[in-house]
Amino acid sequence: MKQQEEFEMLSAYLDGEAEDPATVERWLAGSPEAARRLEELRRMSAHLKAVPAPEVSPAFATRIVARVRETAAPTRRWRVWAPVGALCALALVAGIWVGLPQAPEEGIPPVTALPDLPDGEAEQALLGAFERRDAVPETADALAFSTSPEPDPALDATTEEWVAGMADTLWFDALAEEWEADEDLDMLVQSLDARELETFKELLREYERKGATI
Amino acid sequence: MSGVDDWQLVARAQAGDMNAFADLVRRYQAPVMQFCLRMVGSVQDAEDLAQEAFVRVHRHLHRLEPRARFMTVLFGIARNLALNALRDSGRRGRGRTASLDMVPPVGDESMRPDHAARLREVESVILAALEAVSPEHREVLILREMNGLDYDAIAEVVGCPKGTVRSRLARAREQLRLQVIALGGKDL
Repeated sequence: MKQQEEFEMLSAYLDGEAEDPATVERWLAGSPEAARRLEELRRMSAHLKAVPAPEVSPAFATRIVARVRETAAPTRRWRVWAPVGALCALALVAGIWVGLPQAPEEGIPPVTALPDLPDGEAEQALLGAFERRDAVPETADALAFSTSPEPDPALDATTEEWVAGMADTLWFDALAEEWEADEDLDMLVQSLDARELETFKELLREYERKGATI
Repeated sequence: MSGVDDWQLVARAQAGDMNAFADLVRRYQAPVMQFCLRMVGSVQDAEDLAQEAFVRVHRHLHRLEPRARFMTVLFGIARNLALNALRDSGRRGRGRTASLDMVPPVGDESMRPDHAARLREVESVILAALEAVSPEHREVLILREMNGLDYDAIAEVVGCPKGTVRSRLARAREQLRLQVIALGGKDL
């Protein structure tokens, strides 16, 4: 047997993947050199297995989910704002049709200009829900995709982005009347206390007022 | 979560359940990070690659069929990313840097100092030797020894016949043995 073949046989035997283990065992029983090499392989394998896997903080999963949501967000926005674009185009065409080359009527928001979030309050309400995640671990965990009880600057940054994104999404989903269908938003609402819920409803009402002309 | 198999989570994630996808990430983040780290050698690069692998696997979730093994698909993506990174940078696993997300492994405090020092020394020699093994051999060794994949799974990840996995593993082990000797670790 060539040296390479022998080594392959020992290596596969070590992994429990030998084609004919009985043959290898007979060979090992009659060859101290083969037995020594197998023992050497076994030690090396044990050393490799003993190298600890890197521990990864819970913020890792949070960031990935945030990135996935980010890439999904444009689709949702497009879905909601497409009818607005169609309305604008229709208004423009109608203007040309009646011989009045004018911009769309006031009140229809430009397609590219998204409404700003009110400063502070809604974000604070949502962050409050995150801060209480230990009290409501299942909901908050599902909500924040985080189990970290420790302050983590990276997580906080992600959380803020997520909150801003979620509040933004909430606005579009409310417009599209998809609130009840969206499981994430249901969980979000359940995690708010009465005062935060009121703040959030106010936010919705404000958005509804802004979107009333659509 | 531990009682739920991968495919159940994949099916829920395909239906848009982000909690299920987050569970998949948590289930595989350490092994994927381990694989990427031992392939490229830099903690920061490994973290970026692992993150990208999960994002890409999510992008292709709708294509996964029940017969596909989520783990091999994920490792396959991570492996391609790692090989591309090695090719692009010309590095062979050097330049480790610190990262917020990487927590140093916690040692057993009850361990005798001399024994702990010996283990650190062994680990250091083994990892240095592993870095010197060629990427096509290193990947099968990591997948087998550190990620615990069987030959069939490794063949799926690497995209080669099982017989090739068998011969590459043998060569990888021989390369590792020679590197350990070269590093003065004959007695390991």
